[in-house]
Amino acid sequence: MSIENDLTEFISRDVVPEGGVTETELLISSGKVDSLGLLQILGFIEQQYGVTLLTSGSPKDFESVQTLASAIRKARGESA
Amino acid sequence: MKAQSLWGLVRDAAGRVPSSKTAIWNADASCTYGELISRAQGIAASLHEAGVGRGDRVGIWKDKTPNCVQAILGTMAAGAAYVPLDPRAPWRRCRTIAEDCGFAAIIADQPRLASLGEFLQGLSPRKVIVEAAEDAITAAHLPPDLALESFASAVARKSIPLPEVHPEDLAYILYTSGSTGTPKGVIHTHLSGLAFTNWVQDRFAITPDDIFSSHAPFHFDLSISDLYASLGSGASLRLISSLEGMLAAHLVKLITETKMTVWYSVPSILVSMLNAGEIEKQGLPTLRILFFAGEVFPTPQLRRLRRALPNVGLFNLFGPTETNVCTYYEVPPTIPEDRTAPISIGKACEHMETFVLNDAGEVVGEGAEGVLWAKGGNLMSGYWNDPKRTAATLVPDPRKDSNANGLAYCTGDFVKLQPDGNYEFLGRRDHMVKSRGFRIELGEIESVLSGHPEILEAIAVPVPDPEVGNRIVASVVARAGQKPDPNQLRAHCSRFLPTYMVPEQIEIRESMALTSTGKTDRQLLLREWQSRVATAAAK
Repeated sequence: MSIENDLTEFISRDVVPEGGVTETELLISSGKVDSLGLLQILGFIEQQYGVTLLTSGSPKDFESVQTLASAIRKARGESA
Repeated sequence: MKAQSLWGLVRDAAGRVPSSKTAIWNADASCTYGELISRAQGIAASLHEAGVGRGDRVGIWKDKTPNCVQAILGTMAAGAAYVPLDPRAPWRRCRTIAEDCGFAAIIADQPRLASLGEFLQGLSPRKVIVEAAEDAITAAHLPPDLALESFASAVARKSIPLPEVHPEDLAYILYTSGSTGTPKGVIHTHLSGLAFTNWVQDRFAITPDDIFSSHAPFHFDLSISDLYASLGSGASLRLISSLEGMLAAHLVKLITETKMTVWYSVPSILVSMLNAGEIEKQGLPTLRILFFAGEVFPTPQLRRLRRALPNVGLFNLFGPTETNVCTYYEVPPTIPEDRTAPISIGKACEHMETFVLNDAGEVVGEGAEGVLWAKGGNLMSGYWNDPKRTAATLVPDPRKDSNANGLAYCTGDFVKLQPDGNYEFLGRRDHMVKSRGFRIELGEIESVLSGHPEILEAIAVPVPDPEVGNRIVASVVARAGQKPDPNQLRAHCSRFLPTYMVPEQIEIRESMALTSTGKTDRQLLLREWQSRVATAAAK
């Protein structure tokens, strides 16, 4: 499973159960994910990938599942 | 002549700088002083035409953007008071505030549209201004008889002559967590807002060259200095969104890139910024003042900050929303290695007066513990719709044998006067705690949990944490035959409470821990939670 798939599945199941999200959909500016949801996502990322985006991330990383996945790869030293 | 209102302060400052100067900006938008004033006047004209003016309350339910500041200033220009609602809080909590406050008008934006219809049910505002695309407004099915205007139309209105705002008029109401389960509204007039703002401007020599951060949300009292000390001095203000506000490394970069000169936030985010390792690396050469407030700064981290920023003035601003700020302390050039006690909350602001009373109501001096009282221009005028609470906390100067006139406010904070004339903060005398700088009445969380049909009794427990102040957890007892799911209880809380008040963990107990006198044993609950947290951390 790719990071994108894992994230989409987690967010659709635990954060936005009504309707879910797609890989490219805007998370924050669409209002789908609020601050509580964001913390859930950050917790999941930390647990799954050992990456703390709260300390290293920039706002652009949080736009969509795709940008989150790139940020995770970048933080792990992989090519985004 | 000195400005008579917060609106007048900003309008006058705008007249002294080029109208093309950037007043406010965020990651997506910016606005010049010229635009700020003309668009605020447009909002004011729209509100005035709808009969909204002096003494009225206007709900501001918007994300933190330059347009939101225009809405705030426009409200005050119309003579009304603004009531900022937390755009991240559940709409039901905002609705409780709307009912308490009786909004004459509401200014909202697109992310609020989904719940705006329900929010407005039974309310009868004279005007609703919405910043959203036309088709989104149509799709929201708002009540048909609503006096609706788009934000774009309101800000484009021509300015009209408006009655001058008086210093005694209501300027804003900030709702804080209330112990009885509903938020309480702290009322400030232009007079108290100006007293505080002018103190910040004078004491810290703010100039048009300054570049301010705006980290706190507008419903939080740290925003008052951010907004008015900056815009009231012709300086520039960088609004920081709630997402940006959590990203430590990004924030340090932002200070460097924007050449920020004044930063103000709660300590917990500064601790994250230190832990990200970026403050030492970047050095923040443009920063001249760093204010922190809202919670105790852990001493080891403050020592690290002091070392990392030797040339920056570090100031601990202290005081509840009711006093804006009542005491302050400048962190000395060095903090001894062996010091573990939190740093002082300092002395009264130059235009304020503070004193300490013991249980017998006597003024106590150096070395004795007591409760801190504050007097002076920064004080609120009371709690909205709650004369009983107002009369209990804002009282004629209680000092015996004192000829002093005027009202004094009991902060409820235990302090001790140190030999150097500064106060040491010892703790609260009630169940109010701080988490991530936010003020939380445990009673409000307990009331929401107890409102769940499966719960008999609930106690919220603050577990001290070096990074965020306190982590909130809760212990609950279920009604007979019920087996509540902790995750569902958390979801229940998040329908009524802002995120920072939702307990991180909830335990279901057979019965509540009691003291020998039959009271809830909060200390025992805390010890149990602490050992659980320690066990979890050791694994």
